[in-house]
Amino acid sequence: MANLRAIRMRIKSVESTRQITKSMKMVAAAKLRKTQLAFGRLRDFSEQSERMLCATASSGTGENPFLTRHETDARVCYVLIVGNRGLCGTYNHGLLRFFEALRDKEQRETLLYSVGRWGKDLIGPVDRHFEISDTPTAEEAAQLTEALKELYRSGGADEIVLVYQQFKSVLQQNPGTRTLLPLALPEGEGETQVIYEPDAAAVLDRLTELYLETAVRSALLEARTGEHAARMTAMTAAADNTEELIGELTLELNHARQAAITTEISEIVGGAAALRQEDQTRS
Amino acid sequence: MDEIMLHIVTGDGPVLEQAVEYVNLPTTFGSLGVLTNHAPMVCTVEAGMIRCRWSGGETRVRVSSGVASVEHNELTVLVSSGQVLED
Repeated sequence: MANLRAIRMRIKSVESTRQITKSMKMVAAAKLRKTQLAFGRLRDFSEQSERMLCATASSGTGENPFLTRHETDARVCYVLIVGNRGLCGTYNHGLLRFFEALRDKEQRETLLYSVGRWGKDLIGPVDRHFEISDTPTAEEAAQLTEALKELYRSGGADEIVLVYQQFKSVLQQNPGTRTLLPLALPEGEGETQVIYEPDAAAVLDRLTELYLETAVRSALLEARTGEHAARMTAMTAAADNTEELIGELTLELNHARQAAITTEISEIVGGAAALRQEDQTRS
Repeated sequence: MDEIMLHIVTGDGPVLEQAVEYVNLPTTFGSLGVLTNHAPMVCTVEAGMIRCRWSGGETRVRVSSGVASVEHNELTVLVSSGQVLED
């Protein structure tokens, strides 16, 4: 009987795990939809700002500190965008491994900025840390962008690279990098007939500001979208596993119950047979 | 009558897509009116009010700073945030 009770208790605990994983999956799915939507809306804006920036920059009439390389190339700053939580498969660990390999190969002096709450102990010492919510807002992106721009402008870093999980599909995210600064732009058609008001430099300033903010925000959104997708996938697998486990345990429970019943019956039958034998010998 | 296609776009999606006849932009060097067949131009936009008018009505959009580009009767305004004001 003790065995039966133990199995029942295990089933109960697995059932509560199933409840938790199922609700986590649902929450992740809702957040995924939200970030994916925001990411989609931002894409249009980012494409337009990139096109305008390319055209303005290649007209060659303005200078901008973010478009020019520093003379030295001694220090690189990595911005590592990890998730806010665990329980999302290999999302965080895969990224960390990718980053460590990258850092080991790096010849230059490196700075590390981290974004996201996960793995403070695993990542090790960082130069600066930023907290970003699960659905990054424009304000959060602006704050991070401002810090990165300041770092580049002051000469604290000669290159700034974002390292994050790039979103391919709900089932696939690949760790990758994107160089934020100095800005490397594809060649646009130089439109010489365009009037710049008040002048090309001012327009370029404003455009780089918009473009950088958009680039940072879209990287944050992409990373978060991947995180929610990875968590949803992991939690779906976990919920499926609990179903399977419950099935196995129920089978085991039935076996044990049947065994207990069989034992009881054979005890009764045995007892009855013994009594009958006793009666026969007495008569 | 010729019209200009006005797009006001923010990071959170388009705020206004409307064929208009006249647009007034708050720029760094003051208020700027744009009519059809304007020469190609890119200018900086300051926080303020964009007013536009078309045959069927008019509207105002409060925007933050950004840039505006006019080309081939397409006026694209990229700003960090924008809101159409209901009168």
